[in-house]
This record gives sequence, structure tokens and C-alpha cells, in this order.
Amino acid sequence: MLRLRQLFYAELIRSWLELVRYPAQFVLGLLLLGLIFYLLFGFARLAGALDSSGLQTTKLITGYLLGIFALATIGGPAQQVSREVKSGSLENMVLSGQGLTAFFVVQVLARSWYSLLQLSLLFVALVFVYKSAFVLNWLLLPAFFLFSIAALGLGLVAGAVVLLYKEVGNIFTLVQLLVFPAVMVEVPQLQWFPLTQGASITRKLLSGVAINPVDWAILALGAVALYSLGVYLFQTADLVARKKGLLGHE
Amino acid sequence: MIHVESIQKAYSSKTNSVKVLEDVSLEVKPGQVCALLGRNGSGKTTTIRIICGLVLPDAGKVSINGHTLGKPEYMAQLGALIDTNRGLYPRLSPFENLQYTCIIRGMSRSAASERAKYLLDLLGLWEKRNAPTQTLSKGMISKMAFALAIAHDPPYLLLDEPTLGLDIDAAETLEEQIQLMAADGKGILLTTHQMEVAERLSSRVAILADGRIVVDKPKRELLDMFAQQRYRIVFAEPLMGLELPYVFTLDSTNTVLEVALQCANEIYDLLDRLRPAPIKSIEKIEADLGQIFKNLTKKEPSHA
Repeated sequence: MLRLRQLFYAELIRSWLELVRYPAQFVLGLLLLGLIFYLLFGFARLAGALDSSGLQTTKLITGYLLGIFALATIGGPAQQVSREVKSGSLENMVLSGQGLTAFFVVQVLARSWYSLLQLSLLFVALVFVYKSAFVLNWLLLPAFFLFSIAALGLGLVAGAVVLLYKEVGNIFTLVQLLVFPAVMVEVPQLQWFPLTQGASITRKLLSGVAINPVDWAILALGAVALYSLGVYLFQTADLVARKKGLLGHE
Repeated sequence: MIHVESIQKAYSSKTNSVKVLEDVSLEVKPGQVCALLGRNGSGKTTTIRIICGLVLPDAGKVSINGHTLGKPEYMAQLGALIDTNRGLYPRLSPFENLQYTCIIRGMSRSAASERAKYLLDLLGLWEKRNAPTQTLSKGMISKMAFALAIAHDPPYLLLDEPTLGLDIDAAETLEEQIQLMAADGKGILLTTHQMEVAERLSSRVAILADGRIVVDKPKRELLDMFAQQRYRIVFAEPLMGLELPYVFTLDSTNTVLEVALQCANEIYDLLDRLRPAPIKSIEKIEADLGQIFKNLTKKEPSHA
């Protein structure tokens, strides 16, 4: 546990140094995310999906930000695997003796502050620009936590695929395109999907709607199941890669 | 002690299976530099990668001081240089790279900073401590890769071709450090194709051929074993029509004979056969590791 805390700390420092050294990526990312929302908002208005009460705008902002966070978290392990393999530092991770799964989970968690900071700034800006009203509630914390756990689980699945099959960038982009609308818009057919349900609960909480305990239980079960599946598949991919001698090869 | 016992490894695809390691056993004791030699494809790197835990063996056991492969106690005792050109985070400076590696290998932040400073100074990289990694020369990157391998001061070290592609100064610095670490009681397993490097650094030599260890002996013993069988004899006059039941070569002047005997006693038979040619001098040829390596790993030509 102590080693994992150290690892978390080391990753935190490393990601901070990268941000300080390459600030343009952060700033441009923020601007682009704002621009993309502006376009989405325009499309929604043209399609007549926004009402005068501002409730739909609130839902759109929440869905958009959660979607972006989900994409960043899902892409985290896969992106980190590729980067570590490219720089040849995956070997150091293995030699650290933490186990690759624990290492990548800690890495994604330590680096999530980057997306959180970016999205918080965007959240404040969008609320200000579109004059949306939100109800802040402590229950948002467990809802967001479970949503993040589910996204991390899916990220580990993607990381497992990259660990074994390396060049899967195009397929990965398509998967992200599938996940983003599922989080952003409330699709009734996808209510079983933990990310959709997590986003739905968060949206309701922000709109001041009470949540049914059954919905909480389903979200918790789904998030834990997805995370467990991710851990299992990543560990299996790690084992297979070591057996096939693929670990560390580009 | 690093203990490798009967490891086997084959890489399989849908169509075929290639055996890389048939049955490899070796040990590396504290204070020992063991050179693992072999031709390309003999299985050196696979052996190193198995000991690191990067590749899983199909059979066999690997342990360090009784701790089995993969356990945190095992990993804590091991440092490894797998690739001299890679391993650095490009967005971090050399100091930050070392500090990060020290922390993930279990050091506190303050201890990691001290260790990073010490290693940069030790390897002559202090001036470049804050330089962007992209601006480092190949030699500097290799030194950094070495520094990362020894970041947490491990008692055992694996070095896969540590001096490959280095200029003479950088190679000397690394060799000096390897010798100092061995003198300090660290156990080191290194692979190299540079026989002179192996000869200078190692105290033990293991030679891999076709996935098996064909020899594993203290270097001195190996050199002595081969040295006692080869002789150089210089004649005052050229020899004509020489026929001998031994492997021999005669130089272009027909006055210098080099002969390889099966055992030391055959020298008497040889001298009898050479009589009455006027012998100027006889000397035992000191074997070098390169020659021994060639003899032990020579392959019969394959016929299609």
C-alpha cells in the first residue's frame, strides 16, 4: 500500500511536470473542448432539442462534460501503455514489482486531476456563459466515483487490447465514438450500461431529482462489475503478453 | 544469488514453434560478473528478459536469494538494463527521470533526489541534469539507461549489451562502474558480443549455443583449459611437406607453426615428429575468449 501511495505521488509529480513543460496542450485542449460544445449546442438548438427552461441545456452540459471525462479515462490506460512501450519504460514498470495492472490503475487515477481541472474550468465557463442552474449535492460524489470506476474498467479493457495487439488506434477511435453519445444523451435502451446510468444519475442529481435506491444499487453493481472485468482482462493480457514475449515490444 | 534452473522457452505461432531455450541453468553470486555469451539468436536476451520477469518461461525456476520470480522481494533485488537506447521519459529531464525511477523503486522523495544527484555526478552527467532528454547524445542516453538500472542500488544487476554502440570514453566509464559494483559485492549478469569486454569484466563465463549452456566456468579456468593445448613453434629454416596428425597452421614463410593438441602430453609426440627440424622457440599460446567462444559455438554448415 505504501508503495502504491509512492507510485501515485510519483505519477502526480510527473504529470504536473509534463503540464508545466507543455502548457499549450492544456490550454488548446480547453479551447477546443469549449468550441466543440458551442457547435453541439448550436446543432441541438437547430434541431429544436432545447427548451426555454434551460433544463435541456443543463443536461447537455452535464452529458458533454461527463462524456469527455469518460473518453479521457477510457483512453488513459491504452494511451499510457503505448507511451510506456514507445519510450521503453514499460520494463521499468515491470521491474518496480507493483504489477502492471496496479501500476496503470494508479497512473490513470493520479493523472485524472488533469482532466478534472480542465473540465472544472470548462464547467464554470459554460455555466457562466449559458446561465445554467445546478443543484449541488453530496450524493454527486458517489455518483461520479462510480461513473469513474466504470470508465476505468472500460479503459483497462482497452489497455488490455493495446497490450496484446498494439496497433488498434482506429478501432479504439470507433469505440470512443460509440461511448461518447451513450454517455452524453440519455438513451433508454442503454440504461443498463453503467456509464449511461452513472451519467443519468449525475444529471438527475444536478437537476435536484431524488434517486431511487434501486438505481444506486444497479449503478454500483454495474460499475464494480465493469471494473472487475477490466482488471481481469488486463491481468490476463499481461500474462499472455509475457508468455508470448510481447511485453515491451512496439 | 540469482538462481536459474532448467528454464525452457519456445515461441509458438499458429504454424510453427521455435525453441529458444532448451535447458538453461546458471547462477550469479554476489561479487561475480558473469558474462553470458552467445551468437545472435542463441537466447541471451530471452534469458535476461525471463530473469527480469518480462517473459514467462515454459518450464524451470528463477529465484533470487530464495525469492521466486515476480514477487516484490525478488524485484526489489534486481536492476536491469534491457535497451541502452530507450527507457527515458522524453518529457522529463535526466534528474527527473532518475528521481521518478528511484521513487517507483521504493525510495522516499528526499532519498530519491539525493540518489539522483549522486548518480548524475558519478556518470559525468551533472551538467546535463536539467537538459531536455531529446538533446542528450547516444552515449549520454546509454549512461542514463545504466543509471536507471542501478537507481535503487540493487544487489543484482542484469545488463544486456551495456556498451553497445558507445564511444571509448563512455564505454570505459560504464566498465569502470561495473567493476566497482562487482568489487562492492554486487552480482552482475551481462551479455555482450564484444569478447574483449567480456574478458575484461567477467569473472565467470557462460556460453549459450542453440538454447543450451555449453560451458559455464570461472573465466580463468576456461582460459587455462584452452591455453594448455595450443602451441606456437618457430623454426630456423622453412619446413617442407609437413604432415601431422594434429590440427595445425603454417605461416607463409613456412617457419611458424601453430598447433592444437588434444592434451598436454602430446607435445612429446609432436617434438618427435618434428625432429630434426631446427626449432628456434616454443611457446604456449594464451587463449582469448573470442577464440574459445568460436570453438565452442561453431556450427556445422547446413546443407539444403
